[in-house]
Amino acid sequence: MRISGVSADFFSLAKGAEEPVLSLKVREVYSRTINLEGQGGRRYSIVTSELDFGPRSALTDEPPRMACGERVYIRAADASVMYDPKLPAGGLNERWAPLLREWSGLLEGELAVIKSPATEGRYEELTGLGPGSTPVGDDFMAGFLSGCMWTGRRRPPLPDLSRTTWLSGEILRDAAEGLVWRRGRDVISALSADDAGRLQEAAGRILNWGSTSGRAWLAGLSAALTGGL
Amino acid sequence: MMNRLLKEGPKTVNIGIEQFYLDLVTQKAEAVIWDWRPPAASADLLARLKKLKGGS
Amino acid sequence: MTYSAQRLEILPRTYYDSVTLMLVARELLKLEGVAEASLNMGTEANFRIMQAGGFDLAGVEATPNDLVIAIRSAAPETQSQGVLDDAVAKAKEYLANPPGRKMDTEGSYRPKSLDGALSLLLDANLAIVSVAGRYAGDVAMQCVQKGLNVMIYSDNVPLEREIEIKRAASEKNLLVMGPDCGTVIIRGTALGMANACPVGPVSIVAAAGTGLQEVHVQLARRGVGVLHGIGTGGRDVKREVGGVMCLRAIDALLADDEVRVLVVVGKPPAPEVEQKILDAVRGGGKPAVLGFVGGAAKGDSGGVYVCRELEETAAVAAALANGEDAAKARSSLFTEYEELRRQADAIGRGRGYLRGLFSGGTLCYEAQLVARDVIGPVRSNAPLDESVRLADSFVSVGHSMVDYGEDEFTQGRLHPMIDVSLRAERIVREARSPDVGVVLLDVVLGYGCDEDPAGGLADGIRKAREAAGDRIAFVASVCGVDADPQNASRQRETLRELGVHVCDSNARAARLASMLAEG
Repeated sequence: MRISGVSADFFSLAKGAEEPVLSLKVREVYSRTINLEGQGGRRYSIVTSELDFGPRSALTDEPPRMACGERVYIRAADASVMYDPKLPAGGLNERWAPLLREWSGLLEGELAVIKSPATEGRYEELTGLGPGSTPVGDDFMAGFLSGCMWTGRRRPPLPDLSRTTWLSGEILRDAAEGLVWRRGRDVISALSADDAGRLQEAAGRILNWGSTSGRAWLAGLSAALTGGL
Repeated sequence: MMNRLLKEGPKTVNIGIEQFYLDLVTQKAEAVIWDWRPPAASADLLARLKKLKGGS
Repeated sequence: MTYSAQRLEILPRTYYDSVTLMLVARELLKLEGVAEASLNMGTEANFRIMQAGGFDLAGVEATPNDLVIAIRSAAPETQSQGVLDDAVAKAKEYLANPPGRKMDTEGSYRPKSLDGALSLLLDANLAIVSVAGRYAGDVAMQCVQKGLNVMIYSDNVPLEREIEIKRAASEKNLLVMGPDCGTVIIRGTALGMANACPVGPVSIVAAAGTGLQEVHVQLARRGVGVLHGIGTGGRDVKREVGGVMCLRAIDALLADDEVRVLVVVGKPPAPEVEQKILDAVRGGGKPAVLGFVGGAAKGDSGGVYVCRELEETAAVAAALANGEDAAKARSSLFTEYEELRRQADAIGRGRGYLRGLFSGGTLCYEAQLVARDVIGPVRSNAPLDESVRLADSFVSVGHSMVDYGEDEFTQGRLHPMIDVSLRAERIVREARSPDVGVVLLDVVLGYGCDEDPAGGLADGIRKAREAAGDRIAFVASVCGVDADPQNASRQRETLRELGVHVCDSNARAARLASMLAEG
């Protein structure tokens, strides 16, 4: 398996000063992504599309054939940094306020189950709540946490992560540390810029991601940015 | 203002038939879609209608 | 005649726009064993259309808010149920994922609010509203309140609402074009159903869509361009609305130094509105051509030229734009019309009843006018006079001309310029009647129109020939230019290959057709 690029933080927890090596165990296999467990139970990902980059992710050309439980060693040699998971600089361009209001209204249909805990600020109730391979309540919180971290707003404490899936827990931990996935980062970045086409494209991409995850994340982000809860 | 339209050319919000938006894009005119949906009947209205029909 | 197996499925309170319904129906027709497929909102008008298309709607209960999926199978009885089951399942699948949708940017975010849309296009100056009529008024008013000019393509907006919206717009110096306005040109950009003609010194105010299109195209054929073509909708020039937007547009164009010749065109306005228009253009300081089709007024004076037909209007306006003699242009035109007699003689006259099938309302109107002078009054569903109204729009009597843009054909459906299938079917039905000798058609091109109307009509023409042989002479005019998406020359070619006599204007086609029918 050839790694063509990594996120800036991919080797940050690796062992070995001269030639860092990561020892990872395959935990979840999806059609385009593999999630692995590393030191301290942290999530690492091997992705096949640049759009799927996130914290501690590596890009390969072909979907590697791996089985759950398999152990993988990845060396730092020759992998270029292709993605920086830290929140982008810049502040919200107020021009986009009407769109944020629209996205706050995304909590309908399949997401209706998280609507009242979300809008009434009962964050603990959102943990592990709702449909989706990452429960939509957690996706909302991830977006909310990222929005708080970006604007410097006080963020709620992390919930008890044992009440949700490993993957969601990891996404929430990363969000609380100011680390984001590519699709979300593109939206945040576009929200600080003045380019309508760029924002439409980024928003479109996140809404087309998973059937509910993108919507819930965007609703969470909007809630933090509009301060409206 | 009407004069701005006549002097600057159309910069359009399209509401409804998508082809009209696509044709503007083809002609390199600035345009955006408002993805309008018919308003859903409010829950309150439905409840009142149910009462009228003798339902619970 | 026995009906082949049919299935009617009603989806209550289900809304899809007409384009989606048409695209899904088209896909279903491709399925093996499907003879007829039709998706319509459950309006009375649509029931009539479905019945005319061979569906048995006895006992069907649906409201205008319900979607009716109607499928008819041509498969042998043992397979019919399977065909129908599959088709209905496919219909639902397609509705969830409409086929054939061209997206300029796949998956780009579409704002769900007006404020959201305006945040993406900060200097928006126009809204085009083409949602269902019962919502269009509210949507248009919201746009006016945000400072946008509005083009209302939708019809069935209540009169009081129209007046209210236009009053609100006037207070803000905004233009409201419509309701029922399908054709606008601003700085040469086509909006709605309009043609790709060059810009130039003429501008047009039109109370009629195909009236505007025909003049626009006829000017382009004479090498004269148009800067603005402002539609007002048909009701603006009636007494109740008082011509408020028509007059506003006229004033703006008379004051605009990019406009050298003004044209005002449409069916005759209410008398008091016509007087206001006359007063406005007389004091305007630029040559003006009034083309009220079938209007009573006559006589050119003081820079205001009065015409009764669309090509005539264009010929006069072109002459004025080129600094030529307008009266001469007019008389040359009518001389050319006389030449059509020779063409009619060559084709063979006295053929039988004339059946006109139109997508353009003003074109149908003008054709009736022209025909009246040759073969006497013709019947129509949009007649010149109530005494010759067709009792049933679906059944022609004697010499008839049917406007497929009228309500009974368009409620909850696509405009006939976007969907030619109803006219194509009607051609075949007319052909079966042995008294029919001439079929007259308009083929309207441009943005927003069917991508191949001649091709769609050709199917009907071919089937008609199978039924009627050479009995029927087909006459058509193509309202379009080569730069249109459909390419006018190719459309004419498609028709000529089928032996259709293609004329250079609606007025010529109507004359030729009438001469051929005349015995």
